Amino acid sequence: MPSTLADRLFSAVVRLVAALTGLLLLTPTLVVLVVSFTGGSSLKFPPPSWSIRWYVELFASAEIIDPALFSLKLALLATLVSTTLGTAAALGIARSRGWPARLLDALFMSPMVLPAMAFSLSLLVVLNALGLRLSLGTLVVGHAIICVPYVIRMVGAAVQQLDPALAKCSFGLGASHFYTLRRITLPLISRGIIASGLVAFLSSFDNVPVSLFLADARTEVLPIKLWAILEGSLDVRVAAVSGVVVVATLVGLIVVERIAGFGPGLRSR
Amino acid sequence: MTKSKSGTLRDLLPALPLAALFLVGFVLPLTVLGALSFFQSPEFTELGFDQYRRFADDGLAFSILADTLLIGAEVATLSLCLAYPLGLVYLAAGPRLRTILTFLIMLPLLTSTVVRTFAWIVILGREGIVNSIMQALGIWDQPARLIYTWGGLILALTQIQLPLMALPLINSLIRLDPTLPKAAEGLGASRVRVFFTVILPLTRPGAVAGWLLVFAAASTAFITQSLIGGGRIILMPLYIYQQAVGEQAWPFAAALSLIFTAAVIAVVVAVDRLGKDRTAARTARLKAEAAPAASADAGIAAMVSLKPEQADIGRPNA
Amino acid sequence: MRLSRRNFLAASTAAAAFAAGITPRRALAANGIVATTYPGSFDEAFKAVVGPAFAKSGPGVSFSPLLNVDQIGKIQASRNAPPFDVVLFDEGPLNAAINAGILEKFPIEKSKSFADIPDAFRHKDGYAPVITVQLIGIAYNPKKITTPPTSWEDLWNPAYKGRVGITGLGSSLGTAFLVEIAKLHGGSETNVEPGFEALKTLLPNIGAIAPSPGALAALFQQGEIDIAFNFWNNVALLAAKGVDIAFAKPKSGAVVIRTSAQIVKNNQDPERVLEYLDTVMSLDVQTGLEASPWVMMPTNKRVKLTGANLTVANSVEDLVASNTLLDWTKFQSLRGEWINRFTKDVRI
Repeated sequence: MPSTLADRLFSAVVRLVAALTGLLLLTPTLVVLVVSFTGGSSLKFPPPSWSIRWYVELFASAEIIDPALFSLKLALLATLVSTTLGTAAALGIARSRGWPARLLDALFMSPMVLPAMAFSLSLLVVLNALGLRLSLGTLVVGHAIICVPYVIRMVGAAVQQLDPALAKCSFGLGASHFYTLRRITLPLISRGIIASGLVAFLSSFDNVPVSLFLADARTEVLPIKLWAILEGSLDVRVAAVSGVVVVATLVGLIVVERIAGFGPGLRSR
Repeated sequence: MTKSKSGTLRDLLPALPLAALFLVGFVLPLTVLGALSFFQSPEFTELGFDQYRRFADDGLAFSILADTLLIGAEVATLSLCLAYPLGLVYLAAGPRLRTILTFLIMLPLLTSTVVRTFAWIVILGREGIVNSIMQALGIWDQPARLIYTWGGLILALTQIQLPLMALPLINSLIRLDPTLPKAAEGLGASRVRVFFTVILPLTRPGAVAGWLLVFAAASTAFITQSLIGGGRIILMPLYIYQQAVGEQAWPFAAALSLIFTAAVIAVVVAVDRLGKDRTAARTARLKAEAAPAASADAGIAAMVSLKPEQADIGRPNA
Repeated sequence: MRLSRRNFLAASTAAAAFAAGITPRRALAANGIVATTYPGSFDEAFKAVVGPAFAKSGPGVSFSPLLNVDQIGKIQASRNAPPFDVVLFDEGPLNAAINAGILEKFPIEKSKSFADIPDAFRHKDGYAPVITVQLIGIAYNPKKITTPPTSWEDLWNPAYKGRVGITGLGSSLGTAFLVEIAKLHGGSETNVEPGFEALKTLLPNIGAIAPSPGALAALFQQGEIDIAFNFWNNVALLAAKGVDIAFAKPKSGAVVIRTSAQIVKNNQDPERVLEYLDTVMSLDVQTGLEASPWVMMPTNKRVKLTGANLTVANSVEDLVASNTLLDWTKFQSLRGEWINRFTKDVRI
């Protein structure tokens, strides 16, 4: 195919920027990972010597493992609630063009723009007024609400690209709404759903402001625990936690790819 | 749309469960917040518009709001400029590189916001990675101040929010009918033109979705803003927080929250409209026009002269 | 993020207005009482020393380390069934908590340990006494600064151009520094104008305005700054970890911040709460907290200072005599204004 100078220049710039972007994405995590293998007892970079002692210590620290497991449970539940309800809502909104749809869309997006701290404190006041005790349930509600905008936007974008003709064809061939949804619509937007689910999961897993107010006094979530440790004591175990999370996610992505075929490329096939 | 009103409402049925959750979990708290902002003083004795008047009179509050929206827009735009090249490379890449790229894109979401603060000190510090490299290369003759600066904050926020841009954008790119750019190229258009006249318009929903997510997330990212911006860059979330903490001026903080929220929503709605306009119609038209000239291998891949795109991607798997 | 951790009062009054009239719900006392700690070394020390000691006398205690101490906000939001029974406060937030009316006075006559607490650490209005103090002095990198600093003026030494770290006024640390500097330049607790003037002349030396004291430590570690004001506990802990950091007490005295554990109104078990406070103030527990690696300053006068603590004070009573106290009641209401001023004026 003909390749002009402008074309080659364009390709070169695209690749250079992509490479730099990759570097930008990588560096902060890399720094934390490198530090997690320090032989010293503080977060000094570059590390004076190497060792895996902080990982050994981490797995012996129930005070970090317990909040981590709790955060995992919380994030899974929040993701389940927000992606299920959010996908349904995104489909409904996408089908409808009237002002009610636009209003709902704006409503579902607004947790993203309301300062999370103000939101969670107001929610706490309301829960108290309703006589509801703080529990895993209330925490899931708070987390799910802040995760919803990601689902609405990302699934919404996928739905918008659906060719409406596909659904029409399906109906035309006598398929039911449910059948069309299951066999045509959902498979086509599954990449969007999975991507939004991942983002929802990870933002719930890392959320501080909502947990700060909605977790009960005996419950600790991982990011707040990490913050607590980092503040003042610069403990290397916090870097080791990042190492574990990164590796666990990598393994998770590969397993999902192998078993379900939802690739790291978030493909649907 | 010529749908009847009842049809419109029936279409919205699937949104009802979420709407119910939001009514209790979001609208109610927001109402509480709104009610607070109409109290004259933190003692909650008198009602009035004083808090809003205070905002109007306070030049500082207004400039902080402007800065915050600006940083959101800058971070979102920078993310967009970085995400397109990343997306194009992704599109042209084989499965292995795609796996690596996906992981790379998800990576910022995997490192705790809190722990990452430390990494940025290491990267942007006086004796940090950037300064060392620039000095070693002889580009800078003395260490530049990078940390706790506007530029440093933009970079840090971009890194953290980039996944929100890249994921919807790549999703859009993948769903492009691979025959379209190929067809355009077949008709003699250059890659640059194909990008600007075919790919860019067709991936607008994804780009707009990403821009909005990043804009909203970056302007409200309280923890990242405060920890990476240091003690000197004051943006809206921190300012609201300070008002509440320092002055215990909760009504003013509530008013600020609402003004800030309204401002961000205004930007979101305005930009969102740009994205939705007739995109679907245009896609259909372009498809119809280009289909005859289509060939099997993916033209977008040629954008970066890498491997051809697997054409089955994004097709119904019926 | 101590920039806020000690004093998140955000919701206090607001929440109060809306939480009024809620049906009381008593928490079950079966799991023991709930006490707050500060995140980090405080929390570790309390879990290691106070928890086991208290459990000996009955149902134990759960610790809830609160970051942005939203303590007041959380209590106000559920006044009738507060999430905590005992809360930890620095002097500034303590005043706010008292004003918010969420604290109970301390039953002096029933207390076993109260007699061991010196006057300076007893509350003048009858609230619970101080359980530990934090000293603010000069932290410096002994590898870079070989002559130990002797006074606050040393931060202004032109040799330290770009090497000084400070934090904003959101924290007790930054606020205490501003007030102390103002006082040394002829100002007072209510007139910090000279303090702001002095900060302006410090600008060329300032290398970083850290968002929190924790970030100051990270900046030290990376060689970003060499000298800063900081808490004694933090410095001692970091030095023990091998970070190049040392502490110098300025000749005008270190600034003392008194931290107290207070009784929350409507707590679930007043007797156990008092027992808890007595345990925290007891000779055994205070001795445990004072020892390495915690090196927290005790307030029980029968505790003898040891090790690193001896380098900053001779005895518990000497803590107050040879150092400086600030009257936080005088400027609590001014802090918001100062924060705005700091935002506008202190820019590097």
